[in-house]
Amino acid sequence: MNNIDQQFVDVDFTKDPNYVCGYTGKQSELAAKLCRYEDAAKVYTDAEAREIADNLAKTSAGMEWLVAAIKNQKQEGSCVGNGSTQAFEIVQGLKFGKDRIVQISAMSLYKRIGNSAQSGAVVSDAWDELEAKGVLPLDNEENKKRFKHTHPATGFSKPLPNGWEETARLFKGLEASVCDTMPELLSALCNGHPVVVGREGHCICYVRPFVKDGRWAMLYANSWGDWGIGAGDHKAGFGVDTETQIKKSSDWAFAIRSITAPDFQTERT
Amino acid sequence: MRPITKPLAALALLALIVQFRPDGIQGSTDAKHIVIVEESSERNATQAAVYVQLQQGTEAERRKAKGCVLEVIDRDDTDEGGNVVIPPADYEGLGLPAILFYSKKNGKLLYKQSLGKEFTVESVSKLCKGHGA
Repeated sequence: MNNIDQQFVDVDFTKDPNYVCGYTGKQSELAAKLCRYEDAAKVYTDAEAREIADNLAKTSAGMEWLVAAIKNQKQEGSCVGNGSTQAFEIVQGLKFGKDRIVQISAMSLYKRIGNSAQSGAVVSDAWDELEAKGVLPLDNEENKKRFKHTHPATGFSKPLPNGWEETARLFKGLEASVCDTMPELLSALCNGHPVVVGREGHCICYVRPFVKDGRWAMLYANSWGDWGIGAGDHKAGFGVDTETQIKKSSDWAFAIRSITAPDFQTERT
Repeated sequence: MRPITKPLAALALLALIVQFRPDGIQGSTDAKHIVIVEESSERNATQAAVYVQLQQGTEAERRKAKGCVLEVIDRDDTDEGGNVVIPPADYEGLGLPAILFYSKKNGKLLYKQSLGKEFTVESVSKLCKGHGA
């Protein structure tokens, strides 16, 4: 990450032509069931995290390598659905293997937490719905053959298919933690737990911390299609936040620690 | 020993070896379902980096070519019915993370061991190869 196109560092989302306000910023009270990351998993000192980040940079061990596809919300304010389902897919990749990721419909989540195509949503609501009812697979050809219910990536007005809950229960969140400090956010990423964050009216998925010019930076997967820099095995789709922006993002963010392990995906006999 | 009994004894010995030979040891070609059981809240950065590297790239392709899959499952993970995915009996007595090798053909648990707290992509890969995966 030495020669990053500065155009994609600390992006002011509100000034980008792709921007549609989608993250309302207002959060519900910290749910009692969602503990803080520092109470749930290992949190590192700054020096420890720097050493880990250096190692991640030298290997193909950052979570950008588990991104199956960059999402594209187009002109809808569904970034919270996109950021959250991107994180969900990364957890699938870590658990079951990248080639067994089932791509998820961001709209199947967003339309249950937003009021309209342009209303935006609250990040905490995304986790609540992931945990309560789950999400649907994207309606690509492969998924249509495999699953009874699928849903497109965009199109707020399209209703969810009848009986969608039956399929969505295969794709539920099990455990997540709130990351509201910089050390928690860094540690979650070091521990392989992708983090969904919101800042400046937009929601993104942080995938890897690294040190840039002696300061912390985060690589994130955006949901603006081929916007941004390449990472992992993708030619574009990623951006970078440095400390100022990271601090805004760590006001309220959640790290997904575990998801349902459905029978079809675990290949149990 | 009379000449006729020698081949019989050899056959009996062979039968004994086959009976007690654990499935999945080196040379077995059956596809394997490998599970690393962990406690995700205790996962450290080294382990996470290993999991990411195991689940994509050349190591994943190598296993896939053999028809094998590897999963990283939290001991509390449940399926869609709310049932715990990995029976605790399968890793009883082992420190977590532990690696379990199942036959993909019949689901039989073939081999298990603790990975300890410190392990590498290379050490897990060696274990997989040693068990036909």
